[in-house]
Amino acid sequence: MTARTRLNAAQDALFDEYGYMVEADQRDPAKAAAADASLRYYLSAYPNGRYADSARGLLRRTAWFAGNDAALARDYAAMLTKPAEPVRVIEELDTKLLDHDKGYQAATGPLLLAVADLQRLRSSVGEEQPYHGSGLSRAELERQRPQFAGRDDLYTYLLAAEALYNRSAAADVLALIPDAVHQSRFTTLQFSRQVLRGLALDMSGDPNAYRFWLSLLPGATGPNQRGAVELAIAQHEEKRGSLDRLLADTSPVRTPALRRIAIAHLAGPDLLRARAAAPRAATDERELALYVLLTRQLGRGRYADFLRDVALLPPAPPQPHAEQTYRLPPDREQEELEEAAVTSGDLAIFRTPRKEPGTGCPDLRATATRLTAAPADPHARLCLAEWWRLSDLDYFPFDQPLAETGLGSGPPRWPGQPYSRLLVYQSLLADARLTPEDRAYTLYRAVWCFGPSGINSCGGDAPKAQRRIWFTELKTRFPQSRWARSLKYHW
Amino acid sequence: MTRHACALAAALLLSSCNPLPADTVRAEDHEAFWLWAGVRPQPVLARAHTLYILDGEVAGEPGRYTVLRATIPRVRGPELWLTVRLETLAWQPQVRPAILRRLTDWRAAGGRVGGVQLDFDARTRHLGDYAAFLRSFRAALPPGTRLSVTGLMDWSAHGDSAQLRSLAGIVDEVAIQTYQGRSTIPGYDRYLARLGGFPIPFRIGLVQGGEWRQPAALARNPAYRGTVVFLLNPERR
Repeated sequence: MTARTRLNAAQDALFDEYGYMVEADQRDPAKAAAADASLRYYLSAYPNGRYADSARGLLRRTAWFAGNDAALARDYAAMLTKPAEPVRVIEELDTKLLDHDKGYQAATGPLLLAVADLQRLRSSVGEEQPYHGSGLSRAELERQRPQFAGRDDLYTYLLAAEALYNRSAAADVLALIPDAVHQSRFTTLQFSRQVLRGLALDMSGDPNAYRFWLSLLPGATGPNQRGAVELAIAQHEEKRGSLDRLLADTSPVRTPALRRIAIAHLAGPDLLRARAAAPRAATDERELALYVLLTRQLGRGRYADFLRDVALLPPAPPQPHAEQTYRLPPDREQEELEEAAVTSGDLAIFRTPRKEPGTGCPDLRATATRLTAAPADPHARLCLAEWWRLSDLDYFPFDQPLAETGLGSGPPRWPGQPYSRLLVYQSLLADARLTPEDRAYTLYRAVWCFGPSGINSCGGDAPKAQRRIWFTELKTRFPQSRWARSLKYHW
Repeated sequence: MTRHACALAAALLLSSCNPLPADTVRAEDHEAFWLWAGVRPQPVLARAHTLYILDGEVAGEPGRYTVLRATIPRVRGPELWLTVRLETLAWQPQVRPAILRRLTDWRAAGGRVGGVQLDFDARTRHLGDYAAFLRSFRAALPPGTRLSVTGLMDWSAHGDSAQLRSLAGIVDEVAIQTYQGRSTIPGYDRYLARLGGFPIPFRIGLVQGGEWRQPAALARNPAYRGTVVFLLNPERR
């Protein structure tokens, strides 16, 4: 009881009014020491008392209050060797020890130290990273050798990771980690070692790298293992230009998220058509392929192809039924990628697109037919831009690279440029055949690319002075048009 | 360099440090904030009118409540909201009483607690089901306690109006988030342009260091209640 009272007293002084622990230099060490002493007294008197386990746990709390990282590290290192509740231990040490630099420095081996070391090897690039300690040098890692006695496999892995991530020293990695890829299963450490070797083979351009990854696949049965290998294989296929092999029904790349990247960001028209019609492909893969195919065909001027391939549209689905549960799937990233993919509902933009009254635009097929015969027809081009706008395609995500490196960082295998409504409007305004009604509407839409906040959502660019000119022309040359009357700003 | 040093240097045309672009969200320009777990309190909190403070989260299968704040807030001055992050709506029976107990504890600490905010990513097509869940939760709140929820911009664009309106009778406000993770979602202005008929009082959620250019129409929207800024630790901005 005394101990708990002192603990509460220590606690009150340690947290600010928002419930956040104050900086170390503002904590009263005497209070934490008093609580600590009471707990130890209890334990010395009643080593097997009813509250002994609780008291031992609370000693971690007083160590935390006192900023005693060495004591915390000792406790966590011991707990990690025989964890009763591994997740709780990990969550606690993440927030109490490995959230400040001195905590990382206090980590002791082998397991806790390895975790701290690996975190410190992370690059600082990328906003989403939580704090992961200061960088780790080879020299510092060498000094840690005694702490990994008896764990050579773990220690050489750390040395290889430092060589690869800090210095891109692929040859060092290959010397440290021998090939052991033909196994029927791998522990996490064994698998990580082989992946590091594979990355080093890739980095040095070794001709055997591709075969290495394929050999790793059969044994990659542990959690998250197969996906990692598939990603490496997919990147090889992309580099070699073998996207058709990547996306074949029999491809080793089976993870839906990886296949979706290849379809949406990389595949050319023939491959997309093949996947859209592939009888054994998953439904959402077929639908994504068709969505991307038809959108890009219209956006890049392949109107005859569109008219032919729109026949691949499946019939409209019945109303989707509400799910019974609302849990997020365990793999959150998977869900985000699923959100980015299309559903059969999205194909509605080809079946029953939204229309704006008063623009005199026929249905999509009629517009595409007209453009097949006369691709420069101004009214048809304006109507295509309308369809693009009303189908929310200004933010068509698949023409942007997914990241700077890795799968999906290259451009799609399509000729032509991504569609930009603003470029179309600018081109139309230079076309003498544009009727007055269409000209008024084009001016209106060109200015509205920058509404409602001055941020352009149509691609291309036009400076404010240019928008002012359009605005003025609309108001002075077409004052009676409803577009001129409703336009208030040029942003 | 500090912002002041930058301004001075720029005035003297000396250095090439980068002053923040005009659209960058600065906490000092706003009056309501989210204070999340692990976010160190910043001086700007002293001028808050409204504070949404994360107390804990409901996670796991089925969900249990985990408190994420070391002690009960003892803040005087601003209106406080007890915010709970939800990973799931499938709650164990003891979760709701646990949250209500926390609410009592918060009020006992002397704070002016206006209500509870639930932070949950409800998919637009499931709004009707979320409304049913909230109706039940709301019924358990003590009198004088309002209910706020975070919302996705997508609701304004694709939400079935009937479902959104059903939410209107149940929640007192929606905080519509313009950011994902730590960055502003591109094209937020186009989503916000569709808020003309939004049936529920709403705030616009911004992220510290993110982007914000207030659309002119917003100030004229009778349902608009102002901004809320999600604060970040300095090294994360």
